[in-house]
Amino acid sequence: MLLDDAAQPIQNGGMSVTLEIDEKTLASLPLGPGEQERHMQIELACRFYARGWLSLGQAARMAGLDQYAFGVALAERGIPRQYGLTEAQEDLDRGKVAHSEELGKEFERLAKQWKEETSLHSSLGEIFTNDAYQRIMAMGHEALPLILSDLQKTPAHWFYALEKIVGRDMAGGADTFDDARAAWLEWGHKSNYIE
Amino acid sequence: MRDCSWVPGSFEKITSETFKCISDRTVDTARKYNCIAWAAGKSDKWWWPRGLPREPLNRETIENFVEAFRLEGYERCDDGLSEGGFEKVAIYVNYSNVPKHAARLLPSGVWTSKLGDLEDIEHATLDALEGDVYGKAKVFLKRRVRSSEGQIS
Repeated sequence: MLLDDAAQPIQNGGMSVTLEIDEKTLASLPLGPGEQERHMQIELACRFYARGWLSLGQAARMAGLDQYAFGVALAERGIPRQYGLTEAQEDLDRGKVAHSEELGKEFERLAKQWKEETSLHSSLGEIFTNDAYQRIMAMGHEALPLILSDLQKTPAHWFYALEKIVGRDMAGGADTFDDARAAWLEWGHKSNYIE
Repeated sequence: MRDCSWVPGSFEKITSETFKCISDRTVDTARKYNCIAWAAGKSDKWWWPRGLPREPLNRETIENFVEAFRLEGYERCDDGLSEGGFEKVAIYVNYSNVPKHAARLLPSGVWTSKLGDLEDIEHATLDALEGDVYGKAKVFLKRRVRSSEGQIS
């Protein structure tokens, strides 16, 4: 088996590598004609992972599998999972993205519910003790960029939640809705919560 | 003019014949004032009962609302009937006597209300807005009509 030393770029940003295998050997593999290329791709990825040349994420990408499916492929071949700093960082980054996306969706849902349920009310009791509003407040500091971004798009009564989460009233001197909104947005910019 | 067709669906006693929509404000401007400010003839601030909506929740008492209106020249009175030389305000309270809304009597004899952060409407009677959302109009205030120069007539 020879690896082509002139690897060719392919459309998805990867490289095309040609393997030269004699026909007799190829025919003895327990693989159908349509399966050979795909299986070799996975086998190579597993082998490179086992040798420590590729991280789990890199090897899964090479195999064209998600990390769970690649983990199954490793288990089928008796290759133990290596869990070093690289893998830990990959898991952490993936977890952070997933958590952030989930939090954003939950915030959107609760903010919509809060606005719908309190739009008829001027009462602070109704507006601030609304269940959806309280659940947003319970998100704590993680909700700050979401709240400030919402306040940036449309004026809404976020001042109470902001003050309770931050622990300070950044619009203490403001006398009007517009002034309070401007003060919180300015703080949000300075604190890098919003752009 | 914005679509107010949602109003009868939100208040059980109001009908399309007993109210009319009078605002064409966008949501952006409508959230800058509320029913209390509107009842006192103001449309530049949010009062609950005074100042911005970040004041402590325990200020939601009839006494605090009456005091806020007193500072604007109002005094308590017995009812919401038209009275020559006076403008009147009605405060709606829930079953626990917590203020929920306010409306202002216009010289024409109809009432005007700002509905939360939504539209301003005119309604023929106070009971048009009574029910689960705002409770009942139970507290009435009046002040002398001011001339265009701001003098009490």
